[in-house]
Amino acid sequence: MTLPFGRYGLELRAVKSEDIETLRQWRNSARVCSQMLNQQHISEQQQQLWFAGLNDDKLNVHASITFRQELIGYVKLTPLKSEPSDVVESGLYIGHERYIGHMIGFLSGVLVSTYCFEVAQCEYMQATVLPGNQTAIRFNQGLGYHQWGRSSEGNILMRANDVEFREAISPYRSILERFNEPN
Amino acid sequence: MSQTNEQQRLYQVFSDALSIDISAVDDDLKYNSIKEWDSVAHMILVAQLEAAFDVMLEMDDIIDMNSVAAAKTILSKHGVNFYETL
Repeated sequence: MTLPFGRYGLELRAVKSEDIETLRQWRNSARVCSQMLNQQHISEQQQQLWFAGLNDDKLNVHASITFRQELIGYVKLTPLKSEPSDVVESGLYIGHERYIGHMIGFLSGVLVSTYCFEVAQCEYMQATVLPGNQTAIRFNQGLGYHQWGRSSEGNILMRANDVEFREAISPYRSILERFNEPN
Repeated sequence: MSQTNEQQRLYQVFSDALSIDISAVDDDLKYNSIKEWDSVAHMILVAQLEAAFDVMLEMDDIIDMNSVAAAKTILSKHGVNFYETL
């Protein structure tokens, strides 16, 4: 999968060393951490080890999300090898305080899905959501995801294909095009 | 000054887009102050405001529209009159 990838004033790009402490603090914040499948606190040393290993990780895509060149969040994309079709699992968070719960967060989800369907040519996107996380359920539904099943741990599995995604965002096409215009 | 029908229409759009009772909408309502006003609702809100008032908002105005009062200010730039001078 190829980075950087930009749309809507946003960009997915490789994680840089100057990102990692900010990402760590966002990841460890109660708001983000409480919704993660792995809620372990990340130390500075663990974060540095994680960053040092990114180049050797040929399976997953780790990307910083920027808006107008400013770091706002992070996404990890994992192809699911156990599936017969091409399914990519996404895990995304927005950490920048200004954009938490903001439409820029939703546009980040549109960006990630667009990347996976257009560039990575995946058949389905999948998100694993903790059962009580109504915000994430609603966010994913806004992107065309529907509940597809449960994980063995009881978490909600949500999926969308390209058609479902495009249909879900079609009411916002005019807005999305405006965000594609150069500033 | 008295409120115009435009304010009533604005409140109705917020009520519909955020799926909240219209009595919960006033100028002080801010994004992230209620769980219903999340990132998805923000997109719905912008689309419905543009349709209801027949305007096309600029990118920065969309980003900065973080309250009912801000929406009034932004829509006023497009000629929507929320107040009637007596």
